[in-house]
Amino acid sequence: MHPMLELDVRGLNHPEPLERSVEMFKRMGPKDLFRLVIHRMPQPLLMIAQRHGIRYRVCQVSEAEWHIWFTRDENLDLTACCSGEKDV
Amino acid sequence: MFNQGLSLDQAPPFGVILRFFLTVPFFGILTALALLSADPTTLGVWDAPETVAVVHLLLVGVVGMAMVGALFQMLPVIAGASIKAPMYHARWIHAFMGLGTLMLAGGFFFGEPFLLHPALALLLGSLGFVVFLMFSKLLRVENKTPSVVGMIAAITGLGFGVFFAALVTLTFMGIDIGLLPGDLRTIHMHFMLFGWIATLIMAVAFQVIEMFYVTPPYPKAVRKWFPMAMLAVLVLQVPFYLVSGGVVIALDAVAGLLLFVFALVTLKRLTQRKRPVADATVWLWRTGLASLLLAVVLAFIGVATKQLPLFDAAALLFGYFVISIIFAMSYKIIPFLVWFHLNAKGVMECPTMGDIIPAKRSRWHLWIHWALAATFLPAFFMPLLWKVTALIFLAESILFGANLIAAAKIYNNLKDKGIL
Repeated sequence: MHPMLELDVRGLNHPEPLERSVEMFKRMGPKDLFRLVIHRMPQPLLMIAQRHGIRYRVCQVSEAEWHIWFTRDENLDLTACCSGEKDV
Repeated sequence: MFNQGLSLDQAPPFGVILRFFLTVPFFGILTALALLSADPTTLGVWDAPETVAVVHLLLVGVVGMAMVGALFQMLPVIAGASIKAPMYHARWIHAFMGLGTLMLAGGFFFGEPFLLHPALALLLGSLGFVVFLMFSKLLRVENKTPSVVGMIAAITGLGFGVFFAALVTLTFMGIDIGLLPGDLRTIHMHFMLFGWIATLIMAVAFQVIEMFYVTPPYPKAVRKWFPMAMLAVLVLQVPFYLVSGGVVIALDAVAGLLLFVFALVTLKRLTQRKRPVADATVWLWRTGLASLLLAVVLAFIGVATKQLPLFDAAALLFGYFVISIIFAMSYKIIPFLVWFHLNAKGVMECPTMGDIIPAKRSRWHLWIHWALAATFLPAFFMPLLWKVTALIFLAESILFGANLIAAAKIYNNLKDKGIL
């Protein structure tokens, strides 16, 4: 079972969602799974995640709700993360 | 999505954007100095060489630099249109634009015609290349969002603006184009002000208002049609300069209406923010949009009553709208890019965006910007007030420059401390 971190930044003004998410990246352990709930697709954040060697999966729940799963674990299968949501 | 289709390589190096934005306050200072030393009585005359110099320092040096810099960032990141060797292209485009603007303004301001030909070659070459480079990239974008379509319309507007600038030049050289020089100049100005600048502001607003301020999206009809409608109106207008002044004015009214509705919708969106914390950038947007509304109203009244001073005031207010948005965008874009690039390098002690340009400093800028508005309209009636306007704009440009340089220094001091 992977330790799970959660962050809901829906409706927060720019740049809080990005800054809080990056803080979470810094706290993430090698086996952690981090779920971000956000109101739009945060393209720059995904670029930063990629640079930090963090894998992610993006699921769109609705026009104004996205769930993004992040992990540093190479072996963790993220395919099951988007259950019942639109896999982007 | 498994890390697909996204790469840090898509984001151009920070130096690409920074060189354009750091040049903005430099040209702001030059604009202010030109205003300060110009004969106040000639500044109300649009064809006066000193006025032409001031206008080009402001619209090419300040606005053009900011917009080309922003496009270098937006094309790859927002549109997904990657520009190869961005630093190489940015260096020479920036150098040619800067040198061309200096020579053009200097040629007019100091009455040195020998400066005008190389200036025009540099400006037409660099801006023409910007059109070619960015238009060809944008056309190949598969997912043409409203912002992408808006950027295509704006770049096309710039293309027409550059083309008509070349025609204006030919008429100065005594070559008959078939259109009156005054009409050619008006067409050039229309494409530059509305087809390029206003349309690009629309395209950017569709993306950033919702993103930065967490507002509902723009109505679909506005996003989908406004930029292309603006371009269509301006293109359609050209032949009517030869046959019907009435149609030209009617199409001007349509363009004005598009701008008016865009400003109203954007102001409405800004009242619908999820968390209504109004920082300086929100007020700069509001100030600019209110200025645009007033500009359109005054232009309509000016045309209806044939009162030229109202039309002049409308032109000034339009300029004020544009620089308000440039400042608002800069205070969002530059701190974000510093933060983004430092985090991408894994700099652990990266400051928050709010610490890169502190809110207090952007608020000072806002107050100076409001003071500017209080002086330039009465200057029509008291030309000596232009001196005060110039001094305020000088202070504003210096503060803006100091804020941007402080942000750039933070980046330079930390950029080599990354762990990645």
